[in-house]
Amino acid sequence: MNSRREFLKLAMAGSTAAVAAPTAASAQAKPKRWGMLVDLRKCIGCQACTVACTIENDVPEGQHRTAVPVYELDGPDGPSQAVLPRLCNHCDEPPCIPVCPVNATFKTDEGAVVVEAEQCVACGYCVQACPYEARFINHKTGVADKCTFCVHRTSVGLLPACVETCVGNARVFGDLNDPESDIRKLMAQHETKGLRPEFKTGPNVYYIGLDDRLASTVAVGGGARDLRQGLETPAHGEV
Amino acid sequence: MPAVDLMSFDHEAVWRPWAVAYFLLVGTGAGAALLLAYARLVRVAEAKGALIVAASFALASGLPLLADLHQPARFMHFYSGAAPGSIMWWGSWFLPLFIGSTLLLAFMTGRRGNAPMCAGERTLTMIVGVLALCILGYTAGEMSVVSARPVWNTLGFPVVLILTA
Ligand code: SF4
Ligand code: SF4
Repeated sequence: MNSRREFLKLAMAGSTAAVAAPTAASAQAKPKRWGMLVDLRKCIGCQACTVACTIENDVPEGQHRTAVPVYELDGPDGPSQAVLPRLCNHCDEPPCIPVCPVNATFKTDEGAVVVEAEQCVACGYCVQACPYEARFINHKTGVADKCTFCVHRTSVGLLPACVETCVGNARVFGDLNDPESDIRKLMAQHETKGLRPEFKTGPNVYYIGLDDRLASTVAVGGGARDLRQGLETPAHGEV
Repeated sequence: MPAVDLMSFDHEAVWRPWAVAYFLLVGTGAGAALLLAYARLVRVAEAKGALIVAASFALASGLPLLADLHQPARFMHFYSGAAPGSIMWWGSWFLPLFIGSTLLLAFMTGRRGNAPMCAGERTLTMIVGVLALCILGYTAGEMSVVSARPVWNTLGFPVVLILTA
């Protein structure tokens, strides 16, 4: 089933039920817990999600809430291209939250990790604490910024912009607490992995088809960044 | 065989050189305050030189710290709520207390001139010493709890930071 249609249908059914019988609905319904699954077999590295997110969230040039680094990896049949769509993992144990000295960053009831812009003093401690480089200090707003799972869209029954725009349906978004959701069904059918398990953050972004060489710090020997930065000894690690 | 990046995205450093300047200034100030407290505790000297260094470096350290906040005008947010889980929040209390007590001590010592030290000044010296330890502890702890940075997240890092201070 088309995940977007299913999401909208569920969201609309949910809001009708809420209008009809709010007490019964809230008594029975398990709270939602948002998660994302990225099917790397379907991602073609087109960056449509990167662009959609940038436009939707007015992210300044050169900064990203989500992006898709593209690598060349050696395989038994020669080199092949590997993509790695990256975003905040909305971790279950997010190291970015407890470090905040002014309680400006927190988890919503649905599990999205967000920043209260008016409270943030932009000390950058959370940016340092995130093992995924998912946070940055926004050049326009001057405060900590990150993916919010498009909380302004999901709270009114829409999908995150990156999911909505993905040309290959590689990004699937949904309720991890609902065994009937597309994301849960796909997770039941396929082996999935999260990034940087050694940090024990409990990421809520899962990948199908993730190469082990990309799961933790990626050992990079040469390529676009080294050319861009004019490095003489090409080699670096990317998180 | 490592990967080759065909398309990559840069991340800028979030703590700017101001942060380094802060750690240097406050570390020197706290180190001098510890020497001062030790000298006065064992009564080997009044250590007025150490007091001048501690007071001036403590006072100066606040400036680069504010400069490194991208929203310096919001510094009052540190004090409008409690975030005891954050070492930086503890630091936001330790630092003004350290600066204030060191300046007060410098004022008391300066006003006394060559007269003998009173009990109040001696007690304040010990408070300054304890606050200096808090400063060193929080700066080292603040960085070493960040497991995302492998060099900071070691047992040796806070030791090195304190010893260099
Ligand atoms: S990926 Fe980073 S910013 Fe997102 S919840 Fe985890 S630690 Fe926080
Ligand atoms: S940058 Fe903002 S959200 Fe992040 S730790 Fe500092 S005050 Fe909190």
